[in-house]
Amino acid sequence: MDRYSRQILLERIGEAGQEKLAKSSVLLVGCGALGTVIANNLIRAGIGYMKVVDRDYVELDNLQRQMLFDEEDVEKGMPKAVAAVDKLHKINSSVKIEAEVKDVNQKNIEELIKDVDIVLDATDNFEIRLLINDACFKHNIPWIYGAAISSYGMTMNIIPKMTACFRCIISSLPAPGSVDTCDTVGVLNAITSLIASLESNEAIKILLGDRDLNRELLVIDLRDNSFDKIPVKKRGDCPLCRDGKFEYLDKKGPSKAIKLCGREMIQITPQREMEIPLEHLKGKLERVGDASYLGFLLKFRVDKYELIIFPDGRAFVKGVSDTETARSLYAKYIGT
Amino acid sequence: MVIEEIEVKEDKTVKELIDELKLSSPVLLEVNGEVFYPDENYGKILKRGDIVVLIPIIDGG
Repeated sequence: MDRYSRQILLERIGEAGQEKLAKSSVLLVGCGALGTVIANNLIRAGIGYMKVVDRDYVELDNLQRQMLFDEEDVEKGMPKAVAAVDKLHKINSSVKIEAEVKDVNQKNIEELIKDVDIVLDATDNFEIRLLINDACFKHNIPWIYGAAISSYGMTMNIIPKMTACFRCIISSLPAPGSVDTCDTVGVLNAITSLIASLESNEAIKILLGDRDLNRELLVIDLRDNSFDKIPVKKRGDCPLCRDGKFEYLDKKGPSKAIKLCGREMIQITPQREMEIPLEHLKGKLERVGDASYLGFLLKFRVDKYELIIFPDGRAFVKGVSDTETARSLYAKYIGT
Repeated sequence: MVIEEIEVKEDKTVKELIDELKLSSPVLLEVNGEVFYPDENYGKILKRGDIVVLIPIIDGG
């Protein structure tokens, strides 16, 4: 308990609260700018168990704001979840932490949230949040929405049947490419750290059963240091809150090809579960291009394209802006 | 990406205002202290001189 002495001094935590935290379990979805800070805070605070899920790998332009990564992770092409969990083990070896390198989708989300006390959102798109929203509502698990872009950020606790849900706030998905992203307008590390810290603090309060929770949409703009608490109510026609329809959870199969965050990169997800022997694939691909196996993933360069291939069959196709070309490259070099 | 305030220049519905603004992000609106979802209140009349606060909902992370 010495490790936690400074927070145990807080009346709201105390030894009983610390023991409660040690028995708590958290799912962290996404391990980028928000996720690394959330994980860092909660692991240091002594939660009992955390599962970190992320589909991406560490790149140089992540280091400005993704606090658990370093240049060695970039050189090794480490998956973010694995790199983060390696660091987190060194920070607090008493916490059980697991990394899952995968795309969260309709097929696996219910398994992922099973047995956790809370879900923390550190993702980067509306669709995955609507999926988390459905799954958490169905299984009555609280989750915390957080997002940041430019100098602007927001967070809200979403507690099924008590608060408005995310579907109340976003009734339908914006058209692809219509929304600004961190990759198109940038983001300050101060806003991601701030939103992530608020999310982790609210998570601790929820895990401790604290009634003094944020029940509004908290909006921060560091341009003028404004903090606004926006009261949001349940939508009268919400398909989830009112009708109990899990439209995102019930969608058939994951997206086959999605464009990522405004980058010239498309993610291809196979429609069936598979395991690709990457070393074997490297042997085949190096006959036609430059292939390197990095232990967790395979990088393959051919012509002006780069494919990052994961053992579960997912691939990022870089250097393309349309899904058809990405699908075609996937089919050509990996198969269907 | 910021919270913006705009003054309504002539009476119009929420739908007309949203169409006119061609917003890139989903938004919540606040008018005279009341926060609401625009698509749930498309027919609501905004009066000339009303101050409408646009609160963009974002997805970065």
